[in-house]
Amino acid sequence: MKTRAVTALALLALGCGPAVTTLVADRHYREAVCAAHDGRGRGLVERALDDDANLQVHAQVIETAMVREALSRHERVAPVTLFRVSAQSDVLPLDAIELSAAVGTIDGGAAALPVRWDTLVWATGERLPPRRTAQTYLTGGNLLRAGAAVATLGVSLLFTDFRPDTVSVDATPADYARTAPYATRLHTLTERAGCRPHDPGGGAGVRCEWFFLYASPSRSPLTMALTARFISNRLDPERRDPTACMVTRGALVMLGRADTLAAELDARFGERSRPLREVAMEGVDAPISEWEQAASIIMPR
Amino acid sequence: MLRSCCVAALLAWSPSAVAQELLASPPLPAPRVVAERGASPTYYRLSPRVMLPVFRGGFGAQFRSAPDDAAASVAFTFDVMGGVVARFDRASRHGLIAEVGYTFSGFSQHLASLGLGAMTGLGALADRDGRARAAGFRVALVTRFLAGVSYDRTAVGVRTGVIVGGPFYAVEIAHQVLFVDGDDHNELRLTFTTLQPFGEAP
Repeated sequence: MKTRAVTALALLALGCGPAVTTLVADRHYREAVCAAHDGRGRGLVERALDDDANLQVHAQVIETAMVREALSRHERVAPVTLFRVSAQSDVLPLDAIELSAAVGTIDGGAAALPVRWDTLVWATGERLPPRRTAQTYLTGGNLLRAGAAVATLGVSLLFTDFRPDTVSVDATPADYARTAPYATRLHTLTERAGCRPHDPGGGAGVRCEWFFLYASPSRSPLTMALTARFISNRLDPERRDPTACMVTRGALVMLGRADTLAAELDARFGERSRPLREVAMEGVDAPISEWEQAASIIMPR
Repeated sequence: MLRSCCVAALLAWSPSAVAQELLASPPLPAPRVVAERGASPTYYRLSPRVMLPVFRGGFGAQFRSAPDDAAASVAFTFDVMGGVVARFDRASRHGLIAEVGYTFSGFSQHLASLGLGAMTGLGALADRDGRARAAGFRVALVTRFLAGVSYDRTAVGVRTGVIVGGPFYAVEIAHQVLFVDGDDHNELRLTFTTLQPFGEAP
């Protein structure tokens, strides 16, 4: 024990950090991720994170009667499919784990759209409700008037008054339900999309659900690019937003052809999730930039 | 039949509740918690900035010892320096300083300098326990090799100075010896300066 402490002190005095192999073996991932971020033992840390994060994935097509009715109202070159992708990591001693997913064809020619209000009304053939106008007193002019009132101990109020301004605000939920009832029901069905951290307990882990809409005549199989970011904060107590170290891992998972997606996902996943390492494709990079371009053609933002 | 009626009634009452009812949670297993073995060390999470640029200037007085035929004299002097401070490791308060610069004094003295030294008292963003740590009182010992013009001739020499103070207010006391045409001339300098590397938590 004494020898180990003396060795550690000697290494620190010489400016060499702890060995990354030791950090990984003892699961000191906050340190290991920053070591990898700084270029020390990156491959070793990545492999250890892959093993211990134990990423699980699941995918299924949502085929309830309501979804079928909502998505069949509009004639398109290919039927619209709504499907859900789920992923989860174990809890690791880190400050955060972020997961993100994108879906498209392996050749990059078509992309699935993440579920949002604009993509939902596109899928159901409805229209978004117009934005409402509202009046607000929180304007730059009124702030100046308030400042002048304070500075002149209220004398300026004899010569000026506070005036409201008209601003554009989002439509109310009732507007959405009236204008786009089918999209509203799909939105309700998918509103829990997103990531939720596991109960912290001194570590970080996350469970995510994403919903995608897909409608393309492309016969190329759909693939999902899953990206995991393992984050450790630098020790920087005086900054509210400390700089972070990050190790990013990505994998591509085959989902299946659009016209047989439900059957293929059922065969591949069924009622259980699969470890990412079992379903990840080896040696293939995700054409994410092509997917973003394809998605922007369908739904310009 | 009864179930259909219940679902229909629930749909009329709350579409949101039915939607969530129909879409079960994804079948993901309970997450495993991976724990660290022993207390976490602190090294790589500390700021990796060990090479810190430093630019500083100083002004003060330069004293010449009295030669045989003249009285001791004093002149204004200033200098500008640029270089780098290298910490010994990520959270170390100690490091080496290397800088080049230019010195003028009212004795019509123009000297270029190359300095090397050691310093202590550097601040860090955090110590090894992750607590904020401010820069403190600092001391540097710097030896500079000089070359230029002095006593109206080409001169080379050595200046050894001690810098003591805080990041933005420090005093340097230095002795320099110049070799001009085979003679050595001893001078003293007292200057007000700074000692604040960029990127260091002040």
